[in-house]
Amino acid sequence: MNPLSKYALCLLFLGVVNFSLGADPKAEAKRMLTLRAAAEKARTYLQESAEVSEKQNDMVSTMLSKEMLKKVEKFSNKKDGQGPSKDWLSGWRLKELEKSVDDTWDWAKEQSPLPVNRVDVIKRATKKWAKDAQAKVGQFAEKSMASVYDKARRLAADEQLRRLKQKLNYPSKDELNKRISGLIGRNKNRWSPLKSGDFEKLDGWLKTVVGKAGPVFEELNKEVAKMSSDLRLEVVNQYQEQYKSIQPLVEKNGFPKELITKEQLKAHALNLLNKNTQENLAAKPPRYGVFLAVENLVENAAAHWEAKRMEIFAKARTDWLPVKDQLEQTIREDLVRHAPLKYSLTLLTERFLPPANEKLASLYGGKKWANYFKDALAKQEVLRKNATNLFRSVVSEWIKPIREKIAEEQFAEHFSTLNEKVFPEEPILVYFYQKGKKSVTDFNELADGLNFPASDRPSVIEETRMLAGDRANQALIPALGAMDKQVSLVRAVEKKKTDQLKVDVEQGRPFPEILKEWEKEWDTLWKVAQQKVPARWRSKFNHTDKELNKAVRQLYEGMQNNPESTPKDTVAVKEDELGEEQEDTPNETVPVENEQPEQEEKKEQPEQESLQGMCEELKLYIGLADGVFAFSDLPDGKCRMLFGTPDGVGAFSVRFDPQQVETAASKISESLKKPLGLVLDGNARMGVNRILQLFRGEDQGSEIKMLFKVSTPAVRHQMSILVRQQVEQAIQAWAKKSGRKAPDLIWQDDVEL
Amino acid sequence: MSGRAGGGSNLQGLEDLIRGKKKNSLSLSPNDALVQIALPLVLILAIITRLMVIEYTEAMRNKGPRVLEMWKQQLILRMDTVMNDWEKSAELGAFPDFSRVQWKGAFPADERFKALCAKAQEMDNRKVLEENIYNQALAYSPPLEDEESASFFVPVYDPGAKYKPENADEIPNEFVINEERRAYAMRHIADRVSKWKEQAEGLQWAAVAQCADKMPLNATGGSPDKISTQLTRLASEMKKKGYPLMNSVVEEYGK
Repeated sequence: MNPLSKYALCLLFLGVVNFSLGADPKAEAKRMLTLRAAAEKARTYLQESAEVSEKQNDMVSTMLSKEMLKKVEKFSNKKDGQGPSKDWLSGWRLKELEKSVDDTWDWAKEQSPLPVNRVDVIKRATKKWAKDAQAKVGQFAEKSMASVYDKARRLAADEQLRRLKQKLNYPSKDELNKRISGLIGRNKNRWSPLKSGDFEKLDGWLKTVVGKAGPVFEELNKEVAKMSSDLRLEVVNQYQEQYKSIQPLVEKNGFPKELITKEQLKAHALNLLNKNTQENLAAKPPRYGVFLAVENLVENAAAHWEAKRMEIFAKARTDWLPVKDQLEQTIREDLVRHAPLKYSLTLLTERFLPPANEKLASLYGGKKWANYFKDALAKQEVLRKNATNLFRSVVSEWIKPIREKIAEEQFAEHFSTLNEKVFPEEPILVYFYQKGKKSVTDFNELADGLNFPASDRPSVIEETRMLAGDRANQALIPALGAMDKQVSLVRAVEKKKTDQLKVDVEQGRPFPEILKEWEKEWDTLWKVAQQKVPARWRSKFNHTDKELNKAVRQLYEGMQNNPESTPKDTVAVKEDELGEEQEDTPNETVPVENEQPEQEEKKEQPEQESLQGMCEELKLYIGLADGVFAFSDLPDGKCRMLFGTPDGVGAFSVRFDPQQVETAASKISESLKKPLGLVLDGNARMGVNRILQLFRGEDQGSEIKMLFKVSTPAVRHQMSILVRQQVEQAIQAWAKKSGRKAPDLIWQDDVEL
Repeated sequence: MSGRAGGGSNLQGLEDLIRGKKKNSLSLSPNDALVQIALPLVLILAIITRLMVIEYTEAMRNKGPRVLEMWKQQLILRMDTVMNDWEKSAELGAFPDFSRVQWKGAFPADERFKALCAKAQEMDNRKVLEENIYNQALAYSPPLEDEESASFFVPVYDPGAKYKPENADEIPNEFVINEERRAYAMRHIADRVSKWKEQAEGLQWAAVAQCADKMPLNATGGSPDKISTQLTRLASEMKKKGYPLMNSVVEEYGK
């Protein structure tokens, strides 16, 4: 019988049976009843599946934990693991449900005399089985999470921990050596041991070694960290044990005396280390043997002690150094080059260090190692540096008395006048006062004041200069202070008596009488002020007399020549009474920088004065002042004022009518505000630099020097007073605005009569 | 379907012909065999089997002696008359098959079927029913107005029966029912009752099947794993609606 026939017969038999039974209502009824029962059963399963029962909890948790262990990465984070867990619970519940339905279907097939379809059972149980089942299992997963998830995680974590402990890995010796050496960092020459805290940097790596199985559950992070920290502590322990065996050598120079080279020192320490360190890599935990980091430390310590032991040897004796007479002779042979102490030490080092090093190498190394140490002192940085520093520190101490002796000799030779009681004579005092000095801060300045020849100056050594400066300042500072006070009293009298002077001039009071009255006023003020001045300087300087006389005369004559002016107006000065020096300046007054522009004057004078030109002019005053007011005539009978600093900051020029003194002063004042601010700002910034002192230890405070340089007969002393007052006001305003201390104004009149 | 073979197979056939190879005349695919042969064959055989079953049943029913004795004739006449009445009142004749039952929703809506179900209850106790029919047959007297029919009836007497005619002593022995004759009569009744029961049960099982199919599932579940519960529940529902089921149906899975 061929397969086709078999197939046909089979179908025939089934058809016959089905047809015969199909007519049996009892069988059909039984089938329907079974279908109903099965459907109700399936529906019950569906309805029952809302939450995991207590009975199921353990089983489901265990199964979920196994799933978690299979996919640890997915579940490692507690929060992130919830999603997959819900999915798994849904899936599991759906499978259970399907299985129950299958069982029911099997049961129904046994019960019914006619065939029962699974689809019929499901359709009869619920119309939308797939949807309802999905919703139910979702609900089941949601509700069961609380009771299942934590328990499953605990089970999974416990199991993973057990496995990790079972399979705990230890790092290989090579890998560990590499990592520990990495802890030394950039300073490969360190010879201090690693601290236990340094090893914490290995934790990340040790964690991966411990947890080589892959990702771990969040709950185990601490456990894994503990396992890795335990491993780290073991490594630290072994490292410290190794270090302890060589600690006396490394830290306390515990090497035998006869060992002097670093190779000898290293070999000795390594012998000791190997002797005390047993290696057993098979043990758990393994004994790793001598770490490379410790070997490296030994090498570095050997290098350190080679240098240090030599240094100790060198410090303990002086027979390798040059003798003091040699040093003195060398300095005296070339005082010019040895004048600054710093250079002198350098010159001496350059000359005497090489032979000193050679001698030291011979003394320390003996015949055997002399060449070795000679080379080492030349090539090895540490040895060379140690020897050089030691040489310099000893030599600098030795040359101190030598140089002091030379300084005393030079002082006696060149500056003995400074010790005399008459120093400083008034001309010297006036010289420094006119330069605005309160003390001498520069040797050359002092030398200039004393007319000390420039050609002899280079051979004067630093100590001599200091000595001369100190001695000079002892007398100069109080003397200059006294002169400054006296002159300031002249200004005070000037302010006080100017208005009275106008009246006196109008009444035709004679000049000598007025001068006498002013002198009397000055004497009265000085009587009070002189209490604070040393007794030696209480008498009136000739310079003070001149200043007073000049002030009265200028004001008196100015007022005499301007009778129409109101009492507050100033008197014009006659041209023939003006100073000899007259600048013939063809240029018009033109604002150049930071200047208040004056349109009218610009129109009248299209040619502008260049900044470069002004700067060139101002260069004449370099070193004389911080700011210069330079007045000069213009061809049209007007005057020009040029303001600026020698370096060009805030330079401007202004044109004015010299006959209108107050108007001119006001004009100047307006134009001056901004440039003066620039000068003050610059001074404040450069404050420290500007007061670079040769003679240290004297704090003079900040000051600003202004030079009132007049080269025109049209400008008189009254202008100087007015401008000075306005500059003072501007300084105060600047100080208030900038929050800085107002500098002292040193006003130098150079009004030539 | 074989005609679907491509050009390649046609060429092959031609080549086979040229070389004188024998050609397989039956080149049917499994699908062809199923559709063209097996299914019609199955259908024909099923019809033949069904017809044979019906024939056999009918033959068995008509089996019996052609010429009857007088007491037999009288008894059969009386019993058939009574049983015809019963059958009529039970509306069995109205339901040669289940498709005649009127239906609405999950339950029948048919007064005659209701009457059938009620009457079929008597078959739960067959012995009583059969004795009642026998006694009614003995006591049967045709209506007075039907003189023609009355002429066929001769009084019969069974001394063992509940019914005793007025002139029992005068009844000839030919019409006296003894044990043997009574047993014959009872067998006759039992045969007929069996057929009724078979028919009623068939109808009721079909009704059960339809109800089971259409009734909504029990919301509470109850004991879903017991089919007997399903049947009991369904029978109860039908009884409430006026269609009590026979015990032989209800107790199919036990009491």
